[in-house]
Amino acid sequence: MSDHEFEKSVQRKMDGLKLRPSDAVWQAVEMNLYRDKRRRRAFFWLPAAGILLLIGGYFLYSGSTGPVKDPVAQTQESAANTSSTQPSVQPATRENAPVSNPEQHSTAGGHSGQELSERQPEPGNAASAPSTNHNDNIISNHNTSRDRQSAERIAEKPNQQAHGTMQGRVSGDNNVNKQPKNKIDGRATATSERAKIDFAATQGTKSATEEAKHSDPFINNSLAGLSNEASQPEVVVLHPATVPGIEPLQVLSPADIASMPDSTVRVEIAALLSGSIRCFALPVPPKWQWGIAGIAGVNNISEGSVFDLLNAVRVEDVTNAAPAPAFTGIPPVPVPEASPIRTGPVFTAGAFVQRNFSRSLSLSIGLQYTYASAYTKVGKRVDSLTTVNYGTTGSRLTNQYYRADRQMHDYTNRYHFIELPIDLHVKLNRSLRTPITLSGGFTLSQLVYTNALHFDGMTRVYFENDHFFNKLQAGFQSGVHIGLFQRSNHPVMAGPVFRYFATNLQKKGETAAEGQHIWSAGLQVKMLLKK
Amino acid sequence: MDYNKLVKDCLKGLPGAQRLLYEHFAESMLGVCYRYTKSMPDAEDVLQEGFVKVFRNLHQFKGEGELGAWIRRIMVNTALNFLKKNSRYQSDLSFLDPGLHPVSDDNPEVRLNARDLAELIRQLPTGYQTIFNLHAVEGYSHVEIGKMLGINEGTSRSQYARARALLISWIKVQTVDSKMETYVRP
Repeated sequence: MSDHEFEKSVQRKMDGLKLRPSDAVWQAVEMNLYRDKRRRRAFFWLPAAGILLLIGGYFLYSGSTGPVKDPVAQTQESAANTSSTQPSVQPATRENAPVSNPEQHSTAGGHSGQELSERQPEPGNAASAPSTNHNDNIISNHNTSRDRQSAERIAEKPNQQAHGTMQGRVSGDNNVNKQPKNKIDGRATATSERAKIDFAATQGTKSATEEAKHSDPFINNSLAGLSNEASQPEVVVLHPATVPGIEPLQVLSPADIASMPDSTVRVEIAALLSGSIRCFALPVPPKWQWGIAGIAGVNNISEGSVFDLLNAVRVEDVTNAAPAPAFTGIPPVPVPEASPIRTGPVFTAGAFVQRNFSRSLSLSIGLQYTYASAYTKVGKRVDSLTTVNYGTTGSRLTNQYYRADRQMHDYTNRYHFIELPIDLHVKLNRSLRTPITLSGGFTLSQLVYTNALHFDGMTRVYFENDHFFNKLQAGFQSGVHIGLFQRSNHPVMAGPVFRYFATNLQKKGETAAEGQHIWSAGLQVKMLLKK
Repeated sequence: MDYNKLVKDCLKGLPGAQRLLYEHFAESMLGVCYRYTKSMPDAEDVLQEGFVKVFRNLHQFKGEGELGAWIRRIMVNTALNFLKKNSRYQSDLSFLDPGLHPVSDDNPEVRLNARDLAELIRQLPTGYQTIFNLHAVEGYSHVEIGKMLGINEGTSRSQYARARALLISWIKVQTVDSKMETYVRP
């Protein structure tokens, strides 16, 4: 044999080595591909939303459109609608609940909730099921076999599972109390995906099943084998008082359950009540989270109150220029007007820390840099010493100013802030895939640099003097955010925000400023780095 | 099979084409992954991750060279990453300094079938197993292996020689056993 004959022989043999992978491998690959596709779609959607917002902002500013409905009010309205519909279902469902139907229970060969919950994990998979840590990301981690285990669980016995679920009965709340919690937790993550399918299947309504089908290809595949026997959907709200020893339970709509991400949801109890009722306890979010945030939008200056945003504003005249006295027969000389101020871009970038108090309430504090701007028009720049006036009698020398000529050109007033925003966030819906959050809070901003101009109405010149500005600004902001990519390790919240600085831009006592305020509107994107 | 069309269809996102590509290469690629790992679940993990990479990076396949070879390279790289990342393999994947190593001209005839031979390769310590696979099966030079694993060429050579010697000794034992078995059970 030649020198490398052994290697060649090994190579030939190994080239012929073929092993058949389990079906779950392809399912896991397909799931990853599907997720990629959805991410691409979302990235395509985001710029479009941003453009829409900018267009909306433009119309808001130009005043060419009718009154714009406040997005916050809209959200509150929709939240009110949602909340008003939910309780109306509750009494009806309690009445319809076939809890006291032991005959059907026994003849159908069903199981009590306890039996069912113990029966659910497959014997082989029970040992390898993910731990009780319900924050484990079952789906997103494609490097591990957990994806496939989860997929296998879905694919293996969907019929049996769904059937058992539909036949499952619980004789009363007492049974629930007796359920060992650790046992439930043990199979919680392992069965979450399957339970999602079960629920959708048991709804019996076309819409619920369709929604579930659209949520994931696995659900789509697995639902194919499920029968259509189902009862009507029921919703029952359980409070800790009624189920002592168990965490507060939250009832989710079929849409919520169909869109339930495994990474965050722990299935607390399957078949808690009879028939098609399912209750799920959502995990309490971690106490502390942090991330990065950015805003892009439009910025402008207003005068008067927060309700006068759309009024045209001119460069602040810091003098008390009064009209020249009228002589007999000659009309008074009007005070020259400063140039109007127009909208400019605003950008914010920073980081935040968030403290979660409950599933729906959190507080965040951040540190961020903001660049705000506004355009105006000025005449020729003169680099020469001159005296400018402010207030009633004040005057000072400046070595650079702009004339108010006939030939005017654009000038950008730039403001650079370091800010400390503090926001309270309230989750408006129960959706896990697209949570909607209403935010509101205040910001302390330190103006670190500006080149904004003041107007001297007496000499008709524009000049810079940052001493006239209130460096410390206090403002408030509000916004609505929609959660995106909630399954990923870095969920994103995006939505419109509005901010208004309540502090006067210029010092009132020192100058004759009447009180201008900075405000901005834009699209904020926040990304959690620690989920 | 028209691989170019298949690749184009996959790039269009046609699920049928993706499934076809997967099914065409899955078995042989699992064979590759199997050789680098110690268990079938690990091999399937590598296969899964590898195919996700294949589909994500399919636009980079320019049609130059064979699609199978391109996918195989991805699988090998994925397997190496898996070994580096996975704590179960890390302790066994340490490469000692090159020292004296057995020099053997022994070239025994390999009569074992592919699966049995793969099982023997998988019995090697992870470091030996990896370098043996890369050199003897994939055909990488020791310089290339050194770059891939972050070791020097001499270490790769030394580890390979040890792996080869160990494997040959096992093959001989297996061959003798199988011969005896054949003799005992006519």
